Amino acid sequence: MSTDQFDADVVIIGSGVMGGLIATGLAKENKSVIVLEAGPRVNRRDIVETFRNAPIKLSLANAKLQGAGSPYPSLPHAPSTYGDYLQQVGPVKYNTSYLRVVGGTTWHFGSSLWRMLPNDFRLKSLYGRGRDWPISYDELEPFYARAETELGVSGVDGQDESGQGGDAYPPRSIPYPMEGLKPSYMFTRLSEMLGKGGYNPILEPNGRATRPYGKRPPCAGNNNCNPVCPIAAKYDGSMHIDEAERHGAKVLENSVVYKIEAGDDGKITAVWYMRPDKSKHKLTARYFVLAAYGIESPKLLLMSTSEKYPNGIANSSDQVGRNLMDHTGISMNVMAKEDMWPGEGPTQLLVYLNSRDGGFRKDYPSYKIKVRNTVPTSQITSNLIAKGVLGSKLDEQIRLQSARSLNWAVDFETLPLPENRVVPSKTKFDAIGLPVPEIYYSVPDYWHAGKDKALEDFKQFAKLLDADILSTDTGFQNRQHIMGTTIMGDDPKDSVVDRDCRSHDHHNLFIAGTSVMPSSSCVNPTLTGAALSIRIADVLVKEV
Amino acid sequence: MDTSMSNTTTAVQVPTSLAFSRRSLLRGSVTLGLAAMLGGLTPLQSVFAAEVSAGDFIALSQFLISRPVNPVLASRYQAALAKRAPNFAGNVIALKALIDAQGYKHVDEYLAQAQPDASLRATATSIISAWYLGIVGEPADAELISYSEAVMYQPTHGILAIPTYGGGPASWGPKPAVIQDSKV
Repeated sequence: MSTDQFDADVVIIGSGVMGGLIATGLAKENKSVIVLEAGPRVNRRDIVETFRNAPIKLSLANAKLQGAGSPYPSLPHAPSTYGDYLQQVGPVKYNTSYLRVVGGTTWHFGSSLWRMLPNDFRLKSLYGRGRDWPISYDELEPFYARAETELGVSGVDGQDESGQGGDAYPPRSIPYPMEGLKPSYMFTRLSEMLGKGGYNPILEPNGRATRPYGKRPPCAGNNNCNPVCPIAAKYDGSMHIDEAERHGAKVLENSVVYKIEAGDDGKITAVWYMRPDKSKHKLTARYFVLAAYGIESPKLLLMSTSEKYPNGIANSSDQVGRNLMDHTGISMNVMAKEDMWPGEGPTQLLVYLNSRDGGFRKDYPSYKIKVRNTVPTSQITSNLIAKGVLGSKLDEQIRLQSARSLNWAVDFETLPLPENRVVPSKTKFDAIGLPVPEIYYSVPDYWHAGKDKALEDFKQFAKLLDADILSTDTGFQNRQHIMGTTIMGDDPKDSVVDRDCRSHDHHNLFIAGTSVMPSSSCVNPTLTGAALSIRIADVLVKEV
Repeated sequence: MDTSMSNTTTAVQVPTSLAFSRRSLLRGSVTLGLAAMLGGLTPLQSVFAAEVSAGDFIALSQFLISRPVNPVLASRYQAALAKRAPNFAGNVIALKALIDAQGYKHVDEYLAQAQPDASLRATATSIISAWYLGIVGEPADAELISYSEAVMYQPTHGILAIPTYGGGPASWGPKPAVIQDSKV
């Protein structure tokens, strides 16, 4: 435990999956830990009830309405990102929506938990694009395995996740902790039809239990991964926060950190946080971990200016807040000529990764194609009634369109561009007087080259499925995968953290989460962030 | 919202033909008479305000959505719809009268009218929309009356879950067969 000299051995800013994993790892080793969370505690049954009773429901199926509401609280000191909190100043809207609550954004994530491929770590040296990682897949592999065990990943062993229909890939030191979910009828049928065109189906690894796992029951097909799993079959960060607290960690909710202080020797000395009543409080510790996700983490570093650190904390490279990435995507709606029934079982699972890796990455990005598997009833019914379809026709059309209307979406790898960045707003402030995030985001020709390729796949899909394309949306859809804003590298001049996720500038400051990723790949980044966080916890256990 | 009726059918025992009460039939005929005098089917809300009985709204609802309806939900839908449309009560009475006068047995017959009265059609649509979506009002002032009993889930009942009410572990997989939902 800490001596009287410090409030804790380690103070962790952010109570999501990353902060929770590190808090758990440290608390289990009897280190004293305080976790600070800007938002409130929430409990599952309240969120589920709020969702059920909400006239406007958010889901992946009605992304257009995502500004309209969320079952998670929006408080003056921790405003919801679903409203107008994020200030957009670039040519492309980066309308992401992370959650500021105890447990963090994984409360509403779809729960895809992918490993990156070995080549994703060497984008620059292999393909002349973006950046290389300072660490390799092989170095991260044991931590991927531990992260999969901690988060309880279910997956199909033996799949070639590089999308080429070959042997099991990438290399794994353990089988998936749980066997994969049962495929729905649609997945089976689509796999048959698209297989004829050389498309290799992959069922994505994910955070839904398929057998009792810890306190989690198996997935019951509630089809509500976003915004909330009603039965806690799907992993979320609150589970590790609960475990950390059982091992003695302290969690302070409604505590918004607004300043990090460093001494003349470069060591971080304290953090300051504000309560909803605007009272200000200070905490000291031997070590600090910043785990507030890819928008709030860099914003806080940039807000923490002082005479010695005029550009903010950890920012001697001027890279803090820059290199903002996502899996900016496109989508297509088609109407099949036979019943497929999207929406059975949990949301999402079947993906195509034929264009995940290869020499083409010199010219266009890696991408993933996925089929939406969300219950579409409400959107279909609203549209039909708005068109005046009533009576027997209404029932017929609800049935027909539910069975046959398919939504395909593509996630593209994006590159770390310094101009794409997050800064604290100079003009807009939240209710406790803290600057809101201002985001500049743009999309280069490299992305457009990938879009053109994926549109060819879309046409090919429609042909193989004998389906009519109803609409295509190439409007830079945000995929809610925030990466790059505290980028990792060996050179302190052009990166924020080193290979251990330690600040180049401050020996006792670590940054946890997907914001350290030097390349985005085309797959969901949470597991990579989790593996890196477990690695941070190992270093801290040794040093603290 | 759970109204504690049986899970999917929520039957209320109103006869399958239009169960307009004698009283409402009389009132309807008055409506038609007045409307005829004024040269059209324009309902006069000021005359008939707040004159729709629960039974009349239930009967009209069952006709419009071709299904038995839950009376608890019916009273909530009726109140929410009336609150948002000043001509609601008058139009409900006029609609019922029209349907009865024409002897329509199924909503499709009403919908097939050559020259429907736009105002009555809008009211009919609002009632159908409310029962199907479980929601009354526009996004800015929308009010949820029912989630799990929204009628839109019935045509795909047995195949697609009402989100958060899943079928249980591994309850998917084989080629789905459409199960008939309960209809009047």
